[in-house]
Amino acid sequence: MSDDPTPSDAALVAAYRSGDQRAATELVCRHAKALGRYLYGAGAPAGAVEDLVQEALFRAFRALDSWRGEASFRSWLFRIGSNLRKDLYRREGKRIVLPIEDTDVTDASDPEGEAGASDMEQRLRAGIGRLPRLQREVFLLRAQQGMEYEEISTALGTTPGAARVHYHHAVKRLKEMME
Amino acid sequence: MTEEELLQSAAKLGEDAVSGLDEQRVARAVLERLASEPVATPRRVGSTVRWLAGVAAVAAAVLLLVKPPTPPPGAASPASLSVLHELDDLSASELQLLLESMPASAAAPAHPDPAPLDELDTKSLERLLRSLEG
Repeated sequence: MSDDPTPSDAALVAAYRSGDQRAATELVCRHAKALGRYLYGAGAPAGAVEDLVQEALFRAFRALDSWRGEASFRSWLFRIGSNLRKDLYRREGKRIVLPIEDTDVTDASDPEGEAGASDMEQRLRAGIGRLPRLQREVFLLRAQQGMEYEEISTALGTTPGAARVHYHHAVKRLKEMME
Repeated sequence: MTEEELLQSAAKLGEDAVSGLDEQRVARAVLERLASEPVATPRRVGSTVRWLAGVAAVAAAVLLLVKPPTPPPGAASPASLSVLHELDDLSASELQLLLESMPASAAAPAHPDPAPLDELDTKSLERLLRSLEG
């Protein structure tokens, strides 16, 4: 790894590709928790978040050749994570987010996950889980990551205008659901 | 709830869920997997069998599509959906091979294109509509 105190993601990727494993560790430390929060917000069970994060990062490092820097490393990684969660959802054939009527049910096996979340968080998460996929992902990338529409559209393969519309629909529907 | 409150709640969403996530542990696991699972995984018997199953499913679907068993209007053919699902597992080169292996007649439409609608007179249009209604 270079002596730069805060090397860019691109510099870390280049360092990893030239054999520096510390660069990969740094990338994981930078993005793992943000990715975990994104996946959790998108409906992944709290108990599955770490496995999903690990799998997404593994796939990302194996596919580094396909990251050409048009999108930020984080948004590219989130897209991989999102596809992974979608595949999981498709394989299981059901929504993995908790339905709102189940939010009072505590899970003793997961004390730091769903059971530890506030009622507000559970209701919000259930509401986000009911949004169409693009609305959900645009909303999370904007609300959690503070991404601009341009970057969101690159990450999700849509246009900035469409991303803006998805975001506004998501906010409107979530406000209605949270009333 | 205002948009501001909604965004504040969303920004905090998942903080508890990732509080126990150990990035160093994740990094170690990822690096170990990267070392033990090389990128260019050789295609093994399993993938070949899946590919052959895909070819067989496509061939069956081609037969069904050439002479479909009159599904109800608007219903998607289950065979087509099954084949589309099988195709998900094929690589671009395998899809290309598959396409090249299909007979030209299978790739062509089952029925020749009818005359453009705007060239039909009223009686012909009525006949066409009646035939579509069965």
